[in-house]
Amino acid sequence: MSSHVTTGVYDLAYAPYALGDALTFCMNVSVRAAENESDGIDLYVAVDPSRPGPKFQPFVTPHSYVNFLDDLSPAFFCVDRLRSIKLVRSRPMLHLFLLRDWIERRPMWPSFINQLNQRIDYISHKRINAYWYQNKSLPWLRAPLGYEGFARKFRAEYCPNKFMVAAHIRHSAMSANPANTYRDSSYPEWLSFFSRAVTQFPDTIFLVLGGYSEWPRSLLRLPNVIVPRRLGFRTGQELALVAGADLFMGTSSGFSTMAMFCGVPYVITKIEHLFARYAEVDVGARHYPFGREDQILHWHSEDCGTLLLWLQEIRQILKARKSS
Amino acid sequence: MSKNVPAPRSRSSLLWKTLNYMLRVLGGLRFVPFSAVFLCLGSVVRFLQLRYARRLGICVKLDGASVAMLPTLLFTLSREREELAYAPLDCHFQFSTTPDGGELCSLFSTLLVVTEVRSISFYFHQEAFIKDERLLRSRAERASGPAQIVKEGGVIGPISLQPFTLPTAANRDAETLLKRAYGPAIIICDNTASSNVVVLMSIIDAHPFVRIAHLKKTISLRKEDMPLGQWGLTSYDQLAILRSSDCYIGPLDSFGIAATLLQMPRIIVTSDREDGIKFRIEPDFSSLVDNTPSDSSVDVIAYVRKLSTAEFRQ
Repeated sequence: MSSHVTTGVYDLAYAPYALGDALTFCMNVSVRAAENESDGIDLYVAVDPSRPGPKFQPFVTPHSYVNFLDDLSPAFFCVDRLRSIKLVRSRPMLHLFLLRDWIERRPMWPSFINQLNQRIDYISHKRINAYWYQNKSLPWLRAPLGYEGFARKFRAEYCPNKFMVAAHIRHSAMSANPANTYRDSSYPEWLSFFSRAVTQFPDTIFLVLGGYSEWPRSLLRLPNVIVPRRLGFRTGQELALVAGADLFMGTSSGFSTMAMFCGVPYVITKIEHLFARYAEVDVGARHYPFGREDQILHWHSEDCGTLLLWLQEIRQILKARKSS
Repeated sequence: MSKNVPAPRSRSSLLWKTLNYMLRVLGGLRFVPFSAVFLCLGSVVRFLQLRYARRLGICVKLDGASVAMLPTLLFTLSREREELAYAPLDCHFQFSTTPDGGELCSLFSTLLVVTEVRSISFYFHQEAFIKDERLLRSRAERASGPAQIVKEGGVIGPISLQPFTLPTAANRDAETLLKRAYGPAIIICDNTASSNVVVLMSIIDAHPFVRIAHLKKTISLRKEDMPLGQWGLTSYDQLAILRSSDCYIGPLDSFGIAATLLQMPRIIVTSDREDGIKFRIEPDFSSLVDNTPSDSSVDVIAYVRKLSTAEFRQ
């Protein structure tokens, strides 16, 4: 007996509390479902409240995991054809569901054996690339369920008739739990870029996404910058804004993963060289295998000049596409 | 100096760790037959665990206005928790129409802080719901009677309410913030719509020393009040500020429910239109089930005065 429903399991005992990794997981589940021509996807998010985090994230404790999980949860609603999503805080209950799905021979990501061994590939694009090479298309992620029309409403209210750029500048050094700060971007360069864009691209509005503590106060003085978190919006709405933006620009991070997997034009900067082998590209490659000409990768630190050039280049590409 | 003495390990813990290690090694070597043996053994153990686990399944069917269901759900959860001596709870929601994203996240966030909630399930496809319900119901019937179906408009009786558990960082930050900003002043947590200022203005006029923390507004009525809507707070930060404040005013949404569960003094506004304000004052739970709202803002002022007469004299 085979099933037309695919099961995805994100077990936080060994999978990280990280937006980018959760979105890559969602993409892998979607690809698995597309490979098997499944009608829908059932997602399980498992967490053990007594040991809520993986070994490599010791800052996730029983007293803090709820915060991290709440912030991460909108990512799981980005899966297309989502039939159900379950947060399970009891391991026996998770096993009951998994056993049933295994008996029904449902396609799973990660596989049943890998789950027993507590293994999940949450980084690599191996399966995604393989599907792309075979079909020349991908089952893209979408705005989180229930937020489909949010970007349109936001644009109408806050930036009508403007070119809307979602931007995320990684600045983990300023967050509550700093990690891998060598991946952070230089804020002065971005501030300079935003300032010069006021005159060079007067019809462009930048939506600066990410943690409230991570951006400098001087950002608020710029007339062409909106910080959605200051308007009371959170991760769910921010993901919807990425999916509905005209362009994404930012450091390699969770939001850039969303841009990468929802098909919007993007410029992703400061990609870790180590990541090249997981993405199956060479260091310095301009596009991912499934990337278009308006989806650009940059493997080094960005500066104001190059950011302006990219913005101009992508706008020209989009303009040409629109006119053709 | 005292040395760190490792906690003694139980025999079962060591056995489990050894088995787990062996399983991982075997899995790593792709030694499938042994993995399969362990898999079967594990399944038997897990079925036995399930057989003896105390379980209650609560199924909720939602059509459209899901947040309106939240009060019923949480009160029922509290009641069931008391009756079943804090048995864990499984909450299943079936949506026949696509819910609003904000409502979905609000529901998820609120349930996440109720410690006894063991699982939260959202179904967007009827077939998935029916299949899981069948599985869980059979388990529930074996363990602790039939699963309960809660529907909109379910009866709410007087219950003993229990507070929920917020992340410690949120509690700490909220308490510190309010201490630094307002010291001993009486703080009212405002969750009313921007268009609805009548009740708030009447309170401010009567008691200018009251400070107001606006949970969602981005502009405050006075410069000394906090427009938390533009502070980028998470829902838990907002709930923690509510918890640290002295009074709640707003609708019976997730914050209204939180105020009720925390047994805070509260003014529940039942209409956000300025021309049709209706509210009820709730010093205790019994008034919540009373459907005769007060219609005069004078009642609100009298209530706030009664709330803490001594503090207002400062």
